Amino acid sequence: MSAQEKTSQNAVQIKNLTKKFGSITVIDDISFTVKRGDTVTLLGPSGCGKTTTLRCIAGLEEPTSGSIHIGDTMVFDGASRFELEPEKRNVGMVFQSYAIWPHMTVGQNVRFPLDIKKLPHKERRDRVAEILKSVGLGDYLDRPASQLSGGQQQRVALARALVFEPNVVLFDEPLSNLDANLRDHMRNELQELQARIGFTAIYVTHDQREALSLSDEVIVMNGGRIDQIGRPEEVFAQPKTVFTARFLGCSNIFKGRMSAPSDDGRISLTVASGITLSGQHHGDVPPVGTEMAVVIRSNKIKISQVVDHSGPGMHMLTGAIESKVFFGTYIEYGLRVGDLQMKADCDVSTHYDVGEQVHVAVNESDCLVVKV
Amino acid sequence: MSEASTLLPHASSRHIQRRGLLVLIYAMLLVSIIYPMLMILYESLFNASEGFFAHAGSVLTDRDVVLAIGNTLQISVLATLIAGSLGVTLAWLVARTDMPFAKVLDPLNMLPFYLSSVVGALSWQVIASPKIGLLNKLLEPVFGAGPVVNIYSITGIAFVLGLFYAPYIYLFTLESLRSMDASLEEAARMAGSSILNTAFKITLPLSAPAILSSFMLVFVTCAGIFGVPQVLGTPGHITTISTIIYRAMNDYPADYPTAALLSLLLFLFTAALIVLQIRFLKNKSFATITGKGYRPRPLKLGRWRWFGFGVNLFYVVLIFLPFTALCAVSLQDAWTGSFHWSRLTFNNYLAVLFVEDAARRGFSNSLIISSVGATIAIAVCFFLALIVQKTKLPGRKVISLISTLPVAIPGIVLGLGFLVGFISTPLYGTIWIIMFAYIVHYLPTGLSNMEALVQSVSKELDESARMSGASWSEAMRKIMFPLLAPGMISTWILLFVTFIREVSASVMLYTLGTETLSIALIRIMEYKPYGISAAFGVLQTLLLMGAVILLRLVTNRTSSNKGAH
Ligand SMILES: Nc1ncnc2c1ncn2[C@@H]1O[C@H](COP(=O)(O)OP(=O)(O)OP(=O)(O)O)[C@@H](O)[C@H]1O
Ligand SMILES: [Mg+2]
Repeated sequence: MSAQEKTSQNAVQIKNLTKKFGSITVIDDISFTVKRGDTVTLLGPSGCGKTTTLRCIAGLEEPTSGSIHIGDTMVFDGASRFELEPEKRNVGMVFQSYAIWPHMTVGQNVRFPLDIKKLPHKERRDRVAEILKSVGLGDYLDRPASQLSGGQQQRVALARALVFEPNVVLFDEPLSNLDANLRDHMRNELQELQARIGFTAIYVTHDQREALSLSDEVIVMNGGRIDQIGRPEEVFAQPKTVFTARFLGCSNIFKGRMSAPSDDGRISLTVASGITLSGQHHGDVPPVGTEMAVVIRSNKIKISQVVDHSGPGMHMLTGAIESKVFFGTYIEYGLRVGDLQMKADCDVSTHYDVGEQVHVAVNESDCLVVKV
Repeated sequence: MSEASTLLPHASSRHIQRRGLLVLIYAMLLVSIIYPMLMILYESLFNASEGFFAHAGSVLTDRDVVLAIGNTLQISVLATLIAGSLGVTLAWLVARTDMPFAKVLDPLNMLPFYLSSVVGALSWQVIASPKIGLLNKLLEPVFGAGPVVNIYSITGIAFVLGLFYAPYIYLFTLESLRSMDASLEEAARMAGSSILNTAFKITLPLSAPAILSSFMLVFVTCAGIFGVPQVLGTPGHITTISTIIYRAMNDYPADYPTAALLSLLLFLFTAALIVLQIRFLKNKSFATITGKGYRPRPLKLGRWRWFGFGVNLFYVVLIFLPFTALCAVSLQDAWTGSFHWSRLTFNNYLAVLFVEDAARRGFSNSLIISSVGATIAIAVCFFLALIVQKTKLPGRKVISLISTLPVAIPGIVLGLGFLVGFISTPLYGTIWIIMFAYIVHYLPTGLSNMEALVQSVSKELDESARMSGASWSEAMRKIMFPLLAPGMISTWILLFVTFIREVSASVMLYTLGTETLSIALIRIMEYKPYGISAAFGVLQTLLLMGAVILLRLVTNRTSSNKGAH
């Protein structure tokens, strides 16, 4: 990093970025900044424009408008139609397909960026050896790259993207082609490496576990727009929209019209005939009568045969068990509460039968009121 | 599960019929491929009066032969380099860059693939012959008297061949580039590599196997080609192996042993290179096609995009300009090196169509040979493809191997083999022996096209095969034919075009009265005024162009049909 020490704290700054393919708007006016040394994740469903955003930053795709700065350098400006070639942006990229060159050895792959920079030969050799060691491929220098396993290819791609000390490293779903075990393993390794080397990273994924565990900041994208930006804990605990809540695993989402907020800032929604739920709302309070939604994580819903969770700030409901699915560490019960359908994850020691009448309790503090 | 017995009506699993079928196929292949080649071997080994070794020694130390071998190698290397640099550059420009009008230039780059290189040679004479070539006339004031460019030279022959074989390399490279995962190149850009550096360090090495095999194909073809070296080499006394084989046969009496020996040499050389190439490719090809490939964004060439356009346009001009000049010549009563409206005439065309017997025979012979030949070739290849692809008959691998053997046999060698092998049969002296040779020579092309077709409708074939007895023919007619027809028609047109312009095999087999179009053209060039040859060349080109347009119509309709499914 020392060579590229810059005055700016921002590694990447994106302003009002828009990208259209023909008449289809794929990225719609997004802005965000990435601080030096941070890992920022673009999280969203398939087709929401994550890869396109990444490719615009890389220079592999030409944005329609907006501007992109990398460090202090402007690399794209829509107003003046300025565009810096990808090779001049000093950005590393790990492709989803890894894009390891099969006609070269592992060492040649990793050394390629240094060859381009025409560094002294000794420095090239040292740096390649060092980075291969850090990704755990110290002995693979002379291996033909066409004979690597998926995980090894992934490491070579990583080494190649890091070896020239880029301003920022872009990752496009780097773990999605690996099997589940290896994926967890590589995610941990990536985390360690990040902690050790401290590179700046923009990471694209549609896996919330990856996003939450790897990043300093999560950007949730929906249909080419940014839905929410925040620290992982924040985005997870306080989603601002139904979309973010659902994408981050909230399975109980009930829409309703809001009544006047209470003194302690809680908002009540009538979500079904006879059922009113109230909960915390973060941000501006919309006018009375606006359609909002209450979201509740399924592990926060408690079921019992007798009323034993009651107390202040508890919603007490009754319902019937509709379904029961065993997931190993927990059991997911499907409930019918009045007109509502709910999901509750309970301990494996619970034994409710389908059709059984139960009491359902939810703490108000576990209910979040979000925008629809 | 899909035995030939169920595919072919009533040829049920009865052992004898199946064996009969195999015997028939083997006999066919034996007579048409193995036997002619063995006859060449026999001629060269046993028919020289002074014995094989003495004869071989005197032939191989003959100054003319040594010179011809040297010329052949020079021409082939140079032609391959010219075709290669053109083909690879143009393919890269079209497939990977934002060169303007790439969609228009793409089919134009492919056009020479369908045209006759003999007509190309004829028209380049108008531009670059030493005495009356337009380019020499144009450059005379600048460089003084004496020819600046001379098409009657090794370079000239290689140049025309290079222009006409560039599309082969273009096609192979284009396909390899289009199927390559673009992120391999993008990764290089991200690592700091410029467009050109990426092209040379990543793109080219990755498509090298495909490119090299097309180089080899062009090299081998140029080494065995007869037409262009004959037309352009004769005035400048430049010989190649194929032209001296021809000369040995045209001497009186014809020198069979020498022609056979040289043919054997040419065949062994070609075959060795092809075996080498297959060996080389076996462990050199990379799987660069990966799953979720991004539609690559074309490389931005900036100011250079018009330069790229210029390069491509230059190639198109090199093809079209001489042809335009040929048209001009064909419309003049005598050619003096410049066009005069006062000398405008259609007499040359009238002469070709109504006066010159050889030309008229050439047209009718070639049309019959090509249309009947293409039809038979399609039928035979389809039948073989079914056997090879859809049955478990023992020996089907051998069938496929022998059928691809003609790839390694230059046309003139095959022609000689047919001549030696069938001269005492009634077939000799008819147009049918020429047609027979064509079918055998292009058996590998036809077979690989038909195999691809059979594979693409494989499922339907199996299903119709399962239907029993009476419904079999109906299934063929109602289901299979509509599926197969487009692929068959386009292969038919391709073979038709190839047969129309063929020279090398026919030059050994034609007799007075059985001249093909290209043979007639070469003959007429030898003794008739230039204008008549020009008109003849223009007519032949128009015929080929008509077929190409037809081909595009057929293939476009099929691809839009497929899109609709
Ligand atoms: N070259 C292109 N031309 C036209 N449309 C495109 C092109 N590239 C992407 N798109 C469209 O842009 C949208 C966003 O694509 P993008 O690849 O950025 O999505 P993504 O969020 O990365 O999805 P995934 O998780 O599936 O990778 C998609 O609807 C896609 O079809
Ligand atoms: Mg993507």
